[in-house]
Amino acid sequence: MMVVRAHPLFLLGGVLQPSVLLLVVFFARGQPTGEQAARVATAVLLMAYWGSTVWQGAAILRRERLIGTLAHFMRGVRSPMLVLTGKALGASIAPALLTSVTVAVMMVLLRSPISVASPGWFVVGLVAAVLSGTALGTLLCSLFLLTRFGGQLSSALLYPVFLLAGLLIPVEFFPAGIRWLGWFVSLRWAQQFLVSASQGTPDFSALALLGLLMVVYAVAAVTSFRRIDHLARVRGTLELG
Amino acid sequence: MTRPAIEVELLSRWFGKKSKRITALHDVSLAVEQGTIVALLGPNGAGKTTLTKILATLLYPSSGSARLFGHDVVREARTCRRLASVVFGGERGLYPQLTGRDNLRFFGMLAGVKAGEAKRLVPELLEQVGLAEVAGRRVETYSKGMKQRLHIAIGFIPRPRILLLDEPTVGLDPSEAERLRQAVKAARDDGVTVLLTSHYLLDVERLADRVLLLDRGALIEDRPLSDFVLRAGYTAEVRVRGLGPPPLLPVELPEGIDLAHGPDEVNKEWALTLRVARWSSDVFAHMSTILAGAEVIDVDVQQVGLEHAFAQVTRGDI
Amino acid sequence: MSWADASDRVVLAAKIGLREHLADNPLSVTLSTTWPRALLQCLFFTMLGRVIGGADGQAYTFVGSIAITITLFTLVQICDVPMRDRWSSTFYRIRSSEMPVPLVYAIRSWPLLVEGALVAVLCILLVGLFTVQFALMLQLLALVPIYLLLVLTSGAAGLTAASVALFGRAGNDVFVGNLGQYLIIAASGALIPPGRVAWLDAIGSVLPMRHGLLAIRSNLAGEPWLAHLLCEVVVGLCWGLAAVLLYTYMARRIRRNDHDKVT
Repeated sequence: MMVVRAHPLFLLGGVLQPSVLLLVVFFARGQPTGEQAARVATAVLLMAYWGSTVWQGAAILRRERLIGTLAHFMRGVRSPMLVLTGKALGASIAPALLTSVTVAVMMVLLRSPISVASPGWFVVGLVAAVLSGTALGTLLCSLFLLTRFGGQLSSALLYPVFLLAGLLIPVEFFPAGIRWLGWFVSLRWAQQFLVSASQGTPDFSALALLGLLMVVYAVAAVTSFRRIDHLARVRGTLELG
Repeated sequence: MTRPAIEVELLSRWFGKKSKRITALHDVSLAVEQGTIVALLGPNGAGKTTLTKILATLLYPSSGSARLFGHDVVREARTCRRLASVVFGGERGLYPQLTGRDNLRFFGMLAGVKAGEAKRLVPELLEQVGLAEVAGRRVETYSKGMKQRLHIAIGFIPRPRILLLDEPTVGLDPSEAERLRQAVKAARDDGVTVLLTSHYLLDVERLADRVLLLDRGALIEDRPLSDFVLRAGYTAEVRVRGLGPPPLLPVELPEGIDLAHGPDEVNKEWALTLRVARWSSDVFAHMSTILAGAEVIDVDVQQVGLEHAFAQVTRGDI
Repeated sequence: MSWADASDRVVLAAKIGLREHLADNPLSVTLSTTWPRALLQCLFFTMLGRVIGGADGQAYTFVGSIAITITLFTLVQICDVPMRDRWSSTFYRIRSSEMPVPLVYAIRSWPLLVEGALVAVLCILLVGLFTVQFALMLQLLALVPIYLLLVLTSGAAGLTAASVALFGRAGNDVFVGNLGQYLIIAASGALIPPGRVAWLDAIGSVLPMRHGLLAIRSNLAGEPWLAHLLCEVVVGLCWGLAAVLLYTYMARRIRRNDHDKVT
């Protein structure tokens, strides 16, 4: 946690990215109101959060390798998967909190504060989004065991997710043939649930889909970590130094 | 009279602000003649690397001056960089993603080696340091020793008149280390002046003409290698083992012989170590007297080396 | 130093720059991750314009999104060029070299400048096709030389940012480059039309891209555009000068302070 908090990337994803996106939407478009404002705020919140998850997920093993601690990490008595999950969770919670504060402050500064009609369910939605981000972050971390180009690979995932989740750009703007892909992006359901909770009518089907996808991501993370760890040892691409 | 290759006068270097000032070098003065190999010794934190960095124009002195062949390292840094080449050992300091050949060519270019000259020198040096066959491989695939040899080649490529070597044999196996020593000797024979910093005293014993000893930033010894060895205060250590009761030592040992350890008794065996200040026929007679009546089973004579002198001097036992 | 010698050095530094770039970004990785990411970023901001302002909004942000995409290479990735010397502890050789430090880095950055230019052209073609803006696409293809100028001016700013990254704390390389990119997204007029927020306009006026984008937009509108272009050149030169001064100053500072992280 300390490492993550001290890192400048934390400011990048938690403050800079959401602030700039809100500035662009507000000043290029004009003042959104009501549900529209809630949509914009949650979209920016989730985009910035996803950006941070990707960055931090990519950065965790990179940092371990740079400071030469990856060998200890991989041959420790504790399961590396467990340690990795812990690190990914730490890397998810901190940006999520900072991004939430930034978005809230920016919305006030932009004179469009959002009111949350069901705060309890809104927090549940945020927690679910963070947990699904952790699962995805763990999945991304394992990429780094296999390739040193994990940074490029993970950053390539940013915009497809922004686009497919329909966060700021509704999926109706895309050809019908690719819209179904958005079903597999948890951010889509996270936004749907958060907006509905802010309006006082929580959409529990969205929450259920968010939970389901979180489980799918977690299973994929565990399976792929084992597979990748094995492959990396076989191929000798376990870059420890 | 020719100018010394390296002249250092009242050189000091400190770090940090006044309240928390750390002095790395304090009023160091020395001169190194051209074509000699001078070893810079000292415990960790003595200021060796700071001095090397100042001479390599990588760091400004806080006060005093340093000159290479009369050129000031601060005011005439460009000229000094052409005269001196520096080699910091270790695994870093190379581009891991590039090949050994590319590293050598690029750093050679930075050091002012012209393209035509580099074409000739690069393969020659790679051959010389034994990297010709792996020159096309990325440095990240090199062993520690190979990286060290590449560092050495980079140091040699500008054909410097002064070579600043910081731990040059780190990571080299004994035969590689010996090959490097031969290369440094050959450079010295060609008139290159070498300032050698090393914790491997074997390098110093085999190479150095002179020894400089830094301790807590101050120069505390500057003398030829042969003289420095004498700073141990004795010539040899004699370890004697025997059976039965140990010899009864006189309260005062004869002149020229000191007791280092013992006698210690373990399982009916005893052992003692004597230090001999200078060999003479009297020493053997004195030893016979000391050991008279005792059953001696083994005698081991160890000639004193740089290690003993270094340990003695840095302990402040002189 | 003779001209032949100088050109040999430049060629070698350029070759090394290319090899380093390809080692860190093999063609397969570039084609499968970096370029798609750049194209999708351009598509995202272009379509955001459509959501915000319909067809006109989309045309507006399309022009600006191409410039934003260029900064992925000239502001974000360019920080890696000097940072390689920090990671490998080789900066001491660069700062004691015969070649000026900023020149070494400017030459070694050329693959990124070329990549930025190539991706800009690809964005015009592919995003233009996807968003069905054929006429604008053709007009922008004719204005590619101005985008090339933007590659150079933002590259100069990128090298300045990289100097801050090189001598700053760990992680600054990613932060500084991205900070530059976000400033350009917010203040260059790429997405938010100038005249709406005074303080963003003030920041944007000293950033690369803004005047060049104004030149492109004026050209598309059939208005005079050369003055804007000249302003872009001046801004680029100022950033270039800033890079020279910063690298020179920092190299001297290291020699005074013995900055272990970099030496």
